[in-house]
Amino acid sequence: MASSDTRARSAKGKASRLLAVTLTGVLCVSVGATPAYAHWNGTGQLIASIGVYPYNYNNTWQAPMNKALANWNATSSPANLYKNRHSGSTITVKSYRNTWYGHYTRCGDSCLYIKLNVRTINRDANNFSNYVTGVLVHEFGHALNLAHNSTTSIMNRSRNRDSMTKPQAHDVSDVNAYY
Amino acid sequence: MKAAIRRLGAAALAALFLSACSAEDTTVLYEADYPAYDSADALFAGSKLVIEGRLTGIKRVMTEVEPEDDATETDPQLNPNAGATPDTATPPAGPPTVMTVSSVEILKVHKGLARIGQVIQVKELGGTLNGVTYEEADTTPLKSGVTYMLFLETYPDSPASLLNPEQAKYVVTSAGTYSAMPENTVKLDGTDVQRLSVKE
Repeated sequence: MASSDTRARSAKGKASRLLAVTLTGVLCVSVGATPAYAHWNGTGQLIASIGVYPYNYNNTWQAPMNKALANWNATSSPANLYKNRHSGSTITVKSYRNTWYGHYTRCGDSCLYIKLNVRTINRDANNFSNYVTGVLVHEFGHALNLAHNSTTSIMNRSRNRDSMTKPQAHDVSDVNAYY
Repeated sequence: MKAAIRRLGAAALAALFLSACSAEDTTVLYEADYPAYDSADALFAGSKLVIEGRLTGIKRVMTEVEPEDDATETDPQLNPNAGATPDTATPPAGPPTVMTVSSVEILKVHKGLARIGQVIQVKELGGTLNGVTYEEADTTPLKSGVTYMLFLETYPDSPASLLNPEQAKYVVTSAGTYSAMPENTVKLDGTDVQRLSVKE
């Protein structure tokens, strides 16, 4: 009986160790790995409700920039972009001596800096308003943890910036999967 | 007692494993939206300067000087402040972008105003500053001692920029061929270079 009890306890111990190791493996995979179909990279904000300090430019810039926030907010996702004077997150528009259209920096779980480049956008835009909106939607995509990809997506660097101004189905799906 | 120790050991192992797979470091990741190029022709056409050059090994990390707004520019597209109602409050300022500037000795000029032997400055996003590493996602930084074909935008008051950090640099092999970066599908060969080179 004692021997049987010991074997039972030993089997229980093995089972608990196996469970712990399996659980660890599953957790590690789910935390550290990304499904093949998804494109996110963890460089975004902790929650999808993101406040930015109100930017103030002329209407040629301000209107398409506002549209970028509205386009994310209109998606069936937790994305909620809003202006808030208490936010340290900023969007700056200048003529940068760089080749990018837009640039995103994550400065914390609830902090971001986005820059839009007057120089390159003016050089390449045929539809200026759409270009500005699309580039800002793309940068907010990074804030929502999306990574560059090569599919039909606002995160695709080869997209047509003169026409694509909204998050695509793939982008919305990725945001929903992440948050 | 032994079983309890074993369970504790398994739990400790699990905790250690979890902390290892979620470890954080002092790295800031930059993301940037660059133009994409679909051919060697597009790369040449988009560049002000196309050179083959070797990195001298001299690199410096610096912060980008924020450009001044041109108050005399009245075109609202070129000056986003033209016609804007001034904000009474001062908005918070984001930090300047960190960049690494490499010295490149020119070996060949395929387009633009430069001469063989000249050393030019080329900037890339990222670098380590004050213990913090700033990295641009999806890119491979220029390496010292390596010879590259570079497609560049130039500025009168700032180091040159690559048109695109992945597509605008090719390693020049010892055989004289051009090897693209991993994410770049645009092939470049000697015939392209000969055909597209512009004598200034």
